[in-house]
Amino acid sequence: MSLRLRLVATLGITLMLLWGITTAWSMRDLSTQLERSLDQRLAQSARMVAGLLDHAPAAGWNGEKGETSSNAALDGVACRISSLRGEVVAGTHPDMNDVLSVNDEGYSYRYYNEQRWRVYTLVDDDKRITVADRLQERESLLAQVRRAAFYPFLLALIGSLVALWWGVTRGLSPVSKLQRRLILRDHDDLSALPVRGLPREIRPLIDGFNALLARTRRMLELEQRFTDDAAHELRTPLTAIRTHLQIARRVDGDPRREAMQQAEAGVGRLTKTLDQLLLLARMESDEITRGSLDPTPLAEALETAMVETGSHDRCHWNEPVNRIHVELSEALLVIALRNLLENAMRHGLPGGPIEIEAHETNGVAVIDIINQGEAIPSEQLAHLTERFHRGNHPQGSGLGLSIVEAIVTRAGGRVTFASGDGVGLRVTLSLPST
Amino acid sequence: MRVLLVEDDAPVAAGVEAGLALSDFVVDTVATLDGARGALTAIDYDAVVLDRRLPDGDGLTLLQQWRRAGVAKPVLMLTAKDAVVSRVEGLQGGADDYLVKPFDLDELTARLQALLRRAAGQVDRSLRHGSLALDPVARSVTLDGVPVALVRRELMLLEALIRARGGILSTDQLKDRLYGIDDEIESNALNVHIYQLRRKLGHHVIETVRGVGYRLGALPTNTPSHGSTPS
Repeated sequence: MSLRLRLVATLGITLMLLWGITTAWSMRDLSTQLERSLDQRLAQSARMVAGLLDHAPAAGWNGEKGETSSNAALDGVACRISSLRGEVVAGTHPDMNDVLSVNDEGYSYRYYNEQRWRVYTLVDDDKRITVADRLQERESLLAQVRRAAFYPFLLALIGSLVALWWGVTRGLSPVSKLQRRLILRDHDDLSALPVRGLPREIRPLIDGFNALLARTRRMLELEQRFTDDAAHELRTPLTAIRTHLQIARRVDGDPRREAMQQAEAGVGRLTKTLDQLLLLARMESDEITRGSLDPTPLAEALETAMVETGSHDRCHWNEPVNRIHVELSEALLVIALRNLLENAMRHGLPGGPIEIEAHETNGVAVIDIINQGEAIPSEQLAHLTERFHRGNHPQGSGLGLSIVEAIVTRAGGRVTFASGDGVGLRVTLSLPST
Repeated sequence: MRVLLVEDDAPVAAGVEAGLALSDFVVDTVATLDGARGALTAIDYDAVVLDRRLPDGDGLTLLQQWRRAGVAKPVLMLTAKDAVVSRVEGLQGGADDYLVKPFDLDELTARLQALLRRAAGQVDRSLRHGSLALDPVARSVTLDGVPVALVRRELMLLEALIRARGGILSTDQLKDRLYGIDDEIESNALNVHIYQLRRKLGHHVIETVRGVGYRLGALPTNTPSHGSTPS
């Protein structure tokens, strides 16, 4: 249900109910008031007749004559003067005995000829004066008054409804504008919606929407960059393989052997990149969980990593390494350490020592892996964990440190980098330990 | 033909270099935009094969700079980006052709040769001069329709002279067409090749312009049969 319809319906029904009740109430009040004043007028006219008779000669009042004088009949009103004994002295409508022969003083309703009359009888000394109004006249008067009062009410109600519709439409116009803008928008348009002129109530909604758009935009950019990078990393070795294979087909002897070797090297490089990419993808898709809950002895993982990378001779480590147990599956810890050692061997001073320093504080194992070498500018340090970032080193897949970061973050740890003062790169892993 | 290859990936560069050399291209490889800028000012290349993604920037930026500076050399762009947008971007940025990695070596060679042909304003696959025809793809020469056996450098020399369309090429320019930066050149090598060409195709085929260089000589249309079909 549309917001506008809901608003208009709710407010419109309420308005109509209120106006209706008010109108009904006023009409009721109006008829009571009118009836009361007309009754008073009836009583006054009876008293007026009585007053007139008081000043008339009393001779005609002894009732001896017993004659009824009859005036020209007036339509809708009637009057009769009679003695207390019931003899009619004067009056209109001599045939209306049903209505006009009343003994008791006061108001009453009477019927004559199936018409209803309002009757008032006044007893004054020796005479009885009865006046009557036909109710039909009263009712038509009431209807006229009612009509006169009802039309303004109706007009006011219609006016209110129109004003309501207009107000709601106008009030919701920013929303409608927004709606139109959203409908006309391109599906892949991720630019922010303008917030100027928006009502305060909708502002947070659009702010949230814009923030979401910005996030989507950023993610798409990253995705695009990743796809470009991955395409480059996969296609480059493929190109080398294909080219060298084509050369091998055309030449003989040493050049052929060399071309085959180059092609094989390309296959090796492609395989490594693929492995790393798959590892990263699996890590992100939660395929690899934390593994066994048994803490992994750091020394064992380090030993495996050193053997796998052939860096045993260059590595030096301190004593706490042998005591620390890290809350991370052995497989993942080995992968992280192996990547770091490979990195240190590749980018560090050729043949230089690789220091591994570990210590444990408050359940956190801090492992530093330090290689000597040329300092990395600080602005480059921030990009180290970006996928396919290779700095100025064309070797390697550019994924190693991304993988390390993914593993460490997954274990609830942190990885930081520092460089300078003879240290080529100091990688610090903070991992939960037991 | 001398080609500049701008490619930072050493195995790919080695492959392309070796592959193009099989079609008698003389290839110099640089790995950076800076290297490409330097190489282009030093040597008059016939064409450039340019990778887009280089350590010091986008190859397209360099190409745009070249085009703005009026460098009209045929440029074939290499890239791993296969989206239509990037291809359009490359072509609009001034590239004459565009190849997506991994490409076929034969295709690369054919496209390069097509670019060179177009740059020379040539419609036919063969380069012609009088009754002399040189097929740059098949690497063969005919005189009056009769095949002439030439060794690789002789063919390259003749190709350079025909492509110059009667223009004079200096000794250095000729050496640029025949030898890469790393090739060792014996001092009289060029003279030996010129001598051999004259011997095989007739003395007038190459004219010596004293103190300046060499150019293609007028070939008599009814070529005498001297030395035209050795072996």
